[in-house]
Amino acid sequence: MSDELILTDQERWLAQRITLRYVLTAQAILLVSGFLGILLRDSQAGVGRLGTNWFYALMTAHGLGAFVGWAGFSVMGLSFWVFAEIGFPLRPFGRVFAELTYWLMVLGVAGIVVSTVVMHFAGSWVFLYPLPFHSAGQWGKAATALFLTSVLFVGLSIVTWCVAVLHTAVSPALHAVSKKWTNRLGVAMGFGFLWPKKFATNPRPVPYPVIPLTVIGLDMIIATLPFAVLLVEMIVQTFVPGAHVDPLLAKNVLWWFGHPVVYLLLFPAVAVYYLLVPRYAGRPLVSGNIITVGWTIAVVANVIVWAHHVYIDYPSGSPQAAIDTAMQPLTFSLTIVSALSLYSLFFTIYKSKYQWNAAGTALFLGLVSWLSAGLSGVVNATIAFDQVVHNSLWIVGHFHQMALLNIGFVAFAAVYTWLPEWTGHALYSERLAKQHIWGTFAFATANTIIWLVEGLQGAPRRFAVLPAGHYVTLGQVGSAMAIGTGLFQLPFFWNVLQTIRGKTEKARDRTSPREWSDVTAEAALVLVVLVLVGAAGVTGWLIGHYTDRPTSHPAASTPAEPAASPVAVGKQVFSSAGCSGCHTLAAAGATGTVGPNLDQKKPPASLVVERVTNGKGAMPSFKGRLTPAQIQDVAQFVAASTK
Amino acid sequence: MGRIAIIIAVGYGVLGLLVVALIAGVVWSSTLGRNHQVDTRKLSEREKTWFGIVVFVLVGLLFGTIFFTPYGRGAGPDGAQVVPVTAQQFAFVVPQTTLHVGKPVAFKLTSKDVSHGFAVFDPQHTFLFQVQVTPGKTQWYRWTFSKPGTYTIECFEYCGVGHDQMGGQFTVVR
Repeated sequence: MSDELILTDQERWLAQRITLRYVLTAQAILLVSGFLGILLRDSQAGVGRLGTNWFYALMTAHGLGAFVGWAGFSVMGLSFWVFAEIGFPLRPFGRVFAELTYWLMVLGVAGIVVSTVVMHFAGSWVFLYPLPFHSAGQWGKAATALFLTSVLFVGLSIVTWCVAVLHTAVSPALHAVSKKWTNRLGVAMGFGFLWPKKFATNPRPVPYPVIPLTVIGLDMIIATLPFAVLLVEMIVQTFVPGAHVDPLLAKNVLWWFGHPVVYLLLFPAVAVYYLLVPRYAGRPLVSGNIITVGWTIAVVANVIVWAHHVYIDYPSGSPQAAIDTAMQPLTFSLTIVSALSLYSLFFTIYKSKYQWNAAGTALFLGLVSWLSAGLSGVVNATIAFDQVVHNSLWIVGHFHQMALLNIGFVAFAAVYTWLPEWTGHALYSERLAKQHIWGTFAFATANTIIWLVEGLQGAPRRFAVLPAGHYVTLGQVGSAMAIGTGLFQLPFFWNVLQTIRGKTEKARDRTSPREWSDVTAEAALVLVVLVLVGAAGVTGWLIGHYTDRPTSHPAASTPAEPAASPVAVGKQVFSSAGCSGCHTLAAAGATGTVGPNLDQKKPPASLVVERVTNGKGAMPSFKGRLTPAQIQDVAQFVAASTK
Repeated sequence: MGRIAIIIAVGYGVLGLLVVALIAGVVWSSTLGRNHQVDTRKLSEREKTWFGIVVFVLVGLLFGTIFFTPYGRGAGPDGAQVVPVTAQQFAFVVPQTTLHVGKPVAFKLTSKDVSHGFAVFDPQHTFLFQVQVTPGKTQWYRWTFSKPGTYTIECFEYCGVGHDQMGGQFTVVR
């Protein structure tokens, strides 16, 4: 690789300064959004329960913050460094766009934090149209407008990043023979491996890491522009209620962006793998020309597989069912690039003298997580399976494994590899780094497995409180795993901080060399922890299964107790019919704020009967859904408990 | 767990994770031994074979599953007992009609405001099915219930701060 390091000191300094800024800002975002994630997991498990609006507002912040602000922003910054390492300098035009990207992202993330945490926007990160305009009184127009504008900033930031990446990719460092930029783009996508004459390079072929960066640079422009148009429409609609878009079309446009944005994380991470895995294995990437076929499929398929996110939308009179069906083979084809990359990367490590330091270990564990998350992704891509796991906690398990344990681990590996070079200080502690990597892998993997299991048992995602009486034990174990994951980030932050400050850990005295190598010992420890966690989970599940008989949604139509009073029955009706979703009533433990506060209004029984039966405004009619007797009972209960 | 969930649990949870563990174990331990001789050129060439295997497996999975898509259930009433359900923040309004075991039911789903997810659990709280309800559209879902009892509905698409409270129930009799 030495022949490729042709950057001047000035160019290298510039790349490292920009990358360091991106990466450190992203880790600061991890600190906040990771903490929010732990709060959410704990709240869901009943450990320190947040109010529902808080839960959903923080969920919105956590989703965008951790996914785009941390994982995405990290690898976006690392891309510039990958380029620098393989001899592609950031030229002035690209540099302007790299700077612009940074500030647009920072402004966007800041706006998202303010609109959610301060102004309580809680539409979730997908904010399915037209949910932002139906806040049920929880957030105002200003919050909606600020949130949408902030997401637009993030979107623009992605587009400017693409411009910077593509501009860098087609630079003279590519050694393309042709001067035409379209041909150079083909070269940067690796076409030279397939058609060496048409996409000729001299003297060396395109370095592998350039290919995924070029592919995602092209795709994210195609993916983001329609989404940006939708965002502008929604900002207008915030203030001009007459404006309108077909909700199904809006869903499709959202996922037109929402799918490729996953690969905004994965593909640059692959570029880092392509660069670093061969380095730690001490041999070139094991790869045939066929990998180019994979990337060619990817550049096309990536932008036409969006509808697997709407597999279970197929209203009559729309072509959605046909589109959705077509998406299954297309989505399958997209897994080929992962399958080929994993083949190349695992065989690059196979029988090599791989360096099992913290960074090398992080890359290896990242690959293992990628394989595992890839397989759960194939489940999601299959319509017959997706109809069960869609919007369940299974999905949450899948993408945390992908984003945190795969892409996040690439970010960690990159920090441990390059922070010394960026800062000019040796890494503070290799020991802490290894503890961080193994601890995070063990606890976060256990956490994701629990999510997968909960999902298969029918636990929905995005529930502040899971259906009563279910998933209690699993949730509590998951909560502990989330806290463990969080605690293991402390050595990471301390390590980064101390490295920047130029500190070095005092070398530990190791007089008696261990029989086992460090790696073996620590890996064994992790395996033991995972087995214990698995055993604890299964035991907990069994205990939960045989002791917590489901009490959810106490059936209003089945007589509760033989001699229950109308007030007692009414209380059950109140909680089972969903009244607490909208109303506050202390006696029922209800804290909804959508409709009138019943503790304050103190409605007489007759009024309750009238409203529940016929509805008014936002209040639905429950006639037909509740029997007249049940309505009488709930009215008695409300009247009695607010007297 | 329902039948499909069990298939996933066995296919992914047992077989899939075994494969992951096996690959991780083999690759990891191969680096610790003394033998570092490996013909990387041959491995590079064999990537084509791997490509073939992947395509073969994916095509197999495609043809094994594509005929089990639920889209036929959305085709319309087709002689089934029609049950109109209105979804709105934060309730499913289901009319009081008697549903019978073994008799096909066609839920006619509409939303008054935002997207909702109509998910139905059987009396033992085993997940049965789900379908999205997009505002402005009519979504059908045909199902034949096989046991009597009280079924619960949960909203499976995030619809605002009352989302987790949004539910409902209906009873199926013999």
